Amino acid sequence: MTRGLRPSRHLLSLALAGVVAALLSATAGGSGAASEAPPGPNNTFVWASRVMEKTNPLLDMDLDRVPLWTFDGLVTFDGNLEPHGALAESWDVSNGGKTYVFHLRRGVTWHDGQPVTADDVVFTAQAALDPKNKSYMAPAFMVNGKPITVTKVDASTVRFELPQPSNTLLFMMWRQNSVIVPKHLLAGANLQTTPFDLKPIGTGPYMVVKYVPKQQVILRANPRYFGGAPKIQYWVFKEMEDQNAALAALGSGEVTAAGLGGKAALAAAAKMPHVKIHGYDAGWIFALVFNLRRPPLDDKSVRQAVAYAINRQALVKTIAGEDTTVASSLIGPPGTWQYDPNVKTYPFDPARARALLEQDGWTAPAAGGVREKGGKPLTFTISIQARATDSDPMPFAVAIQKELTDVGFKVTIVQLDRASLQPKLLNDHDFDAYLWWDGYSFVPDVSAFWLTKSANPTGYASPQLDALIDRANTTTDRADRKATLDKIAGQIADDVPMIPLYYYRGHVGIQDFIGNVPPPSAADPNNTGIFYRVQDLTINRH
Amino acid sequence: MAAYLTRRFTHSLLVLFGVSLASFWILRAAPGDPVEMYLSEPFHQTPPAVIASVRHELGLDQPTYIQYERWLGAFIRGDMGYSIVNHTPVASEVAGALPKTFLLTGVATAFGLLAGILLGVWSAVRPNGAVDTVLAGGAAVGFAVPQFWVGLVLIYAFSYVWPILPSSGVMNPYALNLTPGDLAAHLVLPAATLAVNEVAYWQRYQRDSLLRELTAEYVRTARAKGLRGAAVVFRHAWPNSLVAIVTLLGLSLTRLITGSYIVETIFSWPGMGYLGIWAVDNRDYPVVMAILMVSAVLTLAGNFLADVLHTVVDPRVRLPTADAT
Repeated sequence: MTRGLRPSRHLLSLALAGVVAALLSATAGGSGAASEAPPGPNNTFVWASRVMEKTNPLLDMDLDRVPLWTFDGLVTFDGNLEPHGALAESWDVSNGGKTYVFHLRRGVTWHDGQPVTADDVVFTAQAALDPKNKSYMAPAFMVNGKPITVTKVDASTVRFELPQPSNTLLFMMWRQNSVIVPKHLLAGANLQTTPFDLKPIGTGPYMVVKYVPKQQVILRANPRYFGGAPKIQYWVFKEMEDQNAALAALGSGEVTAAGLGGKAALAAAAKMPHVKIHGYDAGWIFALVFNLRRPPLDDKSVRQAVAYAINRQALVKTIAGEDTTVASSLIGPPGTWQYDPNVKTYPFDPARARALLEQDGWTAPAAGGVREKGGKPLTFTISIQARATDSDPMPFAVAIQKELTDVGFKVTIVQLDRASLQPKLLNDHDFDAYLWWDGYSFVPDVSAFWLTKSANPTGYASPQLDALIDRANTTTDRADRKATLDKIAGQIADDVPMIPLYYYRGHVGIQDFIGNVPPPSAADPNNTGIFYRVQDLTINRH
Repeated sequence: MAAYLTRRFTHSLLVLFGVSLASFWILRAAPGDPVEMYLSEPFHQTPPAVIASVRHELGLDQPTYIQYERWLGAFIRGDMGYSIVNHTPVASEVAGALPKTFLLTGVATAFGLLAGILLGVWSAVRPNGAVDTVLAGGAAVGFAVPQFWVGLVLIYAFSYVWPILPSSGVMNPYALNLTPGDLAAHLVLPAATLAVNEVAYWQRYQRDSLLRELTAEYVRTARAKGLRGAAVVFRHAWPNSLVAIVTLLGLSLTRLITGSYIVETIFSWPGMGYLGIWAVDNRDYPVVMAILMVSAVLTLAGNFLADVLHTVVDPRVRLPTADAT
């Protein structure tokens, strides 16, 4: 059976068209037509998604949206987190890790046929660093807040001079953090108003054909893609804000794939006979994060007591799902070289939690209840985001509240929308603890998280950790880097400024006629779910 | 008449000023920062200097009364400003969204009006009968049932169990251009969702209004003179019952805009409601203010229209003159 629009819809459409003709002329529009076979059920992958507002990667980098299909970085990473060339074919590192020379891949062109040259790389760096552009990519071209100097050596060679040695540059030149944009289209343009947003020109496996704001983006395969021309001719990101509508569309065949957020969506998709469910590591960690500036969580013993009081295994398996991995280290997902399987963890041990609190002077009333120390109760709030787009944090908050109550805490749950919660966390630090998903990154640069002067909302400050991070980011010896990362993970685990709960596992439902879907990877470095080689996917309709 | 119009216009301006003032202050007082929203995430290092420069560029570092003064001056000149998140002109965002909302709610209202009038007349000519009782129950359900639930049930039924209609959006995912037929197909489910409430609304009003006319003296006189039932109802009573309906039509202009927020979100229908919820979520102040002001203008226009229509359909009613208090 061919899925897609059926003839009965067309008849219904004709019957209604006459009624709404006058207003339709005010809303319909657009012009132009495809010059080859148009999109249809047999040559198009339709993904129920959120259509991002901007497609210019200098301004925004929504990680599983249009820019990742249409642009490339200098390098890419495989499932073992080993770097490989993308727009750069190779690179040389010298000067103790302060100088990188990238040799661009020859023959790569932009979607409009113009060649990719060193000028594009230099322009991208300058545009990203220009404060006027407020570019999301700016941090990728900095080391410790200082800009990298990018210069052209020749038409296909670029030199990066770093302000200090760093072994994280390749990570920053990976598509998740930066992509190269065309100088010939953006030089001198006002990034906020350029029409480039509606028809971005990149180097990626797909190129934008039509962008209908707030509705859909239609992409066509790039036959000259250096990674191999995609086998599926068209790709459509279709706006579907509501998960239920997306599920219905997946079940009826209206869309090819849809994200499945939460157990209810997974259960619904499992009943669809023509849909396969694929899981992937989304590179996010769900954690209980503390504010170390405020009592009682400024006390390490209290934080460790919280860690022992929470049954992470039971919570994660029950609420997040059986196939979800309980998190331990903040560095690397399990199975990758930087992950330390022996990092300190806190097994569920309420008795030990009580003992720690008693030793710390938090005494419990004879009849049970909230512990006190110096007349102050052992109480704090957990902030969570309302209307979370992924799994709802409320069940975790309620379960943690219950478990902490059992050992003598009083926990209050505060629910706020994202716009209200974010300034409290980042600017005002007006929180005690919060449940949040944070990208924990596949390549082990934790400076953004844990450097004393970083954007770390916990207030955790450790000169010793700063020194370890600096060493991990500058050493060129892999073994030394690994040993240092293990020490970093260990110190963070011991000081417990946050309690990792689980590595977020994303799920996508895909129609079974899509072939060559890659298996779930221990680390999906491109963060496009499982679509990190979109050019290999095929449509095998019967 | 001129004096009345002048008074009415002045009154409307004062109301709009009050709405803008209250809305602006409430928005600024609400927690959340639009610059932080789109520049930062926890652990993402957007340099503080960049954030400060953006806030300065947008004037968000100024006192609220200065920001309001600037906004008001621009708005009076017809400049709705730029979206903080998208950097697109707000006027073009609203201009793109408004026709889609009018289309959706217009179709729902038209259907609701037609069906409601027919059902209301049926109820009124056979009051307290089996049909009237069933319709009364149906109307109660129509008023009470949440729109989001109706929408989800319709999606489940007609986009999944019997997949004959698309579940969301305005266009076929394979379409390069929006066509009237495609738009019409996508219109069915969201319009039907809104229409449930509309049918209940107009059915009750028509029933009550017609029942009142059917018990009036002139109707008893007409029957006494030997006029047949159908003639009494449709030539005499029903036209008079439309006075209330026509008046309410003007007032329903507001509902055309505000009644669709939830439905537009469920169906990803890119109208004012969809835009409004997105703008509030992202604290995109210029967009929120534009939507609020457009809604206020339409409300006032609707009230005025209702008053004018009332005088048109009921010759006993006249607009206040200069001499009237």
